[in-house]
Amino acid sequence: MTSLATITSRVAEAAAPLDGRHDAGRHDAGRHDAGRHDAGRHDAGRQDAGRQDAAPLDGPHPVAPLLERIRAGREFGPNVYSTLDVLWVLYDRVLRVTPATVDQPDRDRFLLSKGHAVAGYYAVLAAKGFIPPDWLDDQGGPESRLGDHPDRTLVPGVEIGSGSLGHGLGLAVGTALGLRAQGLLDPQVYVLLGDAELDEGSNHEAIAYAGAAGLANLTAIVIDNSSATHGWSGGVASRFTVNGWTAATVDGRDHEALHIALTGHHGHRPHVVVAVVENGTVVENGTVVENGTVVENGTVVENGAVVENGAVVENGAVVENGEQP
Amino acid sequence: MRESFVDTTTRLLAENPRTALVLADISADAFAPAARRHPDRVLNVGIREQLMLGVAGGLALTGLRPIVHSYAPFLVERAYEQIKLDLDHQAANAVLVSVGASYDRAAAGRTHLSPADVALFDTLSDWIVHVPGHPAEVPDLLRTTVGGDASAYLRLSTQRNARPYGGDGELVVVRDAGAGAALLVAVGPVLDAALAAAAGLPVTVAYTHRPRPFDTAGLRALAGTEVILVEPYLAGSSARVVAAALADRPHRLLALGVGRAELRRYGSAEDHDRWHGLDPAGLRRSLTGFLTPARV
Repeated sequence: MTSLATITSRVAEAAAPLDGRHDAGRHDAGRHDAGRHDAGRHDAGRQDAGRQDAAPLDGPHPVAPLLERIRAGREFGPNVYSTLDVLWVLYDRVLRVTPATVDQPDRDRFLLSKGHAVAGYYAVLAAKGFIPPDWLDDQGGPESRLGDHPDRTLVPGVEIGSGSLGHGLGLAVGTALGLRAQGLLDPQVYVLLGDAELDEGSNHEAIAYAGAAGLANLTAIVIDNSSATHGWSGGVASRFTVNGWTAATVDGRDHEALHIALTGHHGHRPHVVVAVVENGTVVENGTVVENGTVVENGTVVENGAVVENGAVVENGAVVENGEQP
Repeated sequence: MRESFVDTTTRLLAENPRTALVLADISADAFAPAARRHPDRVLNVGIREQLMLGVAGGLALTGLRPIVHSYAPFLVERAYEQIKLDLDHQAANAVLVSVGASYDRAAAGRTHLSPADVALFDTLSDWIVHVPGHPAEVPDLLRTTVGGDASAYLRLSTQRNARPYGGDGELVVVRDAGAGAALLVAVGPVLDAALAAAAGLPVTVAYTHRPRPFDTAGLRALAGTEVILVEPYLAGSSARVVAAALADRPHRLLALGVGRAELRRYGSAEDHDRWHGLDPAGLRRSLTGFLTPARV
């Protein structure tokens, strides 16, 4: 199982791009359709005005210690870390919403559909002043407003309560339609899902309709950590593009690439950003981490099951002592 | 009732820019004129009931007042979790309007029957449920619920009484049998059959088109020791409410309605009334059995 040292390393890893150790080389410009990025459309009112080149932040990052306060010695699943970079780029550089504007009709909306990825969400909300950092210390407690899944009626700045997968995208489509119907054409609706969450059929109702309706104010973000049990043959983005969405697939740890992709939405179509991550895991001490599988000191951990030393788990099958199927 | 719903909703869309309508193909043709006039507020998502409710939740979160409409089983049963989470859990409210009722399209078979819809709303909290008994009751009910902020379910049917009864849903005494009589409460379109069944019996008959919130104050004012419920959906749906309202009184309760068993029979709504004992003769048998003291 995951050790405390590993978790600490994971926090460091997750925070690495935030701490100024951002590896620009990971950004594969070729995978991003630069032609879709319309810098001119990018609203000067956004929070990152003048900060386009400021991805590496100076000094210690506020999110890492906040995340540790929530964690309080517990183990976090990889989903927490796989989502953190996207959340930070959104709240730091993209979303036009502040603690003072959480009820304003023309605010940007961020809907966390995969509600279990909540620890990083709470940490970012605290870092940005939406909730007091003190709330993080008893997360999940009997008097806490912060559950293991978020409740919009309990947490300022949280747009939807989520936890049951497959609800956020439909709510986001409705939100985008409601803004459009009221002539609120400037605010954007962002909704964050996971690649495994796309298993839920409700998403495909929403993907098809949003494309047909031309919901230009809707951006879906799919954290792709290859956790869907049966995979997405042909890629996640194709599920959207075949329905008329524009798409960008980027390195989910690359803040500049994420920023470009998240603001590269224009025209008359909904937009999806597929943020590819390695399941929030790390490589250390010769340990191999790949596609949601954590291998430590010869032990393979997959889907919560521990396989004895030396055994390799591949595609769900257990193979003895390194033999390949 | 569906025509009345379409006409009133079309007017509400024109009168109030906060009103929106979400469809999943059902009745889309009838709303085509409204859709042409209000393309941003008449939204047909196709045959996608989960999305229909999700969209309604999102619309409500932006401040609109969504009306959501389909056949009862597709609106309530298929998308039940969306009602629970995309509306209630978000503290987002909507007006849901169904057609089909328990067995309006009996020949369509089990897939189009929805006797359990009202019971499902009883698993949630604070829903208003209206079961009109006549098309002329629909416009006021729709205007009132859409004009309010609470979540409401309107259960429309092709079955109807001979005349409408207005009011806000408090029990209305239609037949007064005097002191000591049993109280029969008929919900929506079963009233006429209940009146026919009670002819000549010592039974006061009261009507309501609003089973939720049930008029418990009216019930306590009218009820003696014997209470009979006649409901056009799952038998016993309101038994819990009546029992709680009369918990401090010795009383007997007979709860009549649609049975749980899947009959696997087609025919007409009138046939199903008969098979479920909701026709005048069947109700009469139940009433006399209930009111006749058992011989020990």
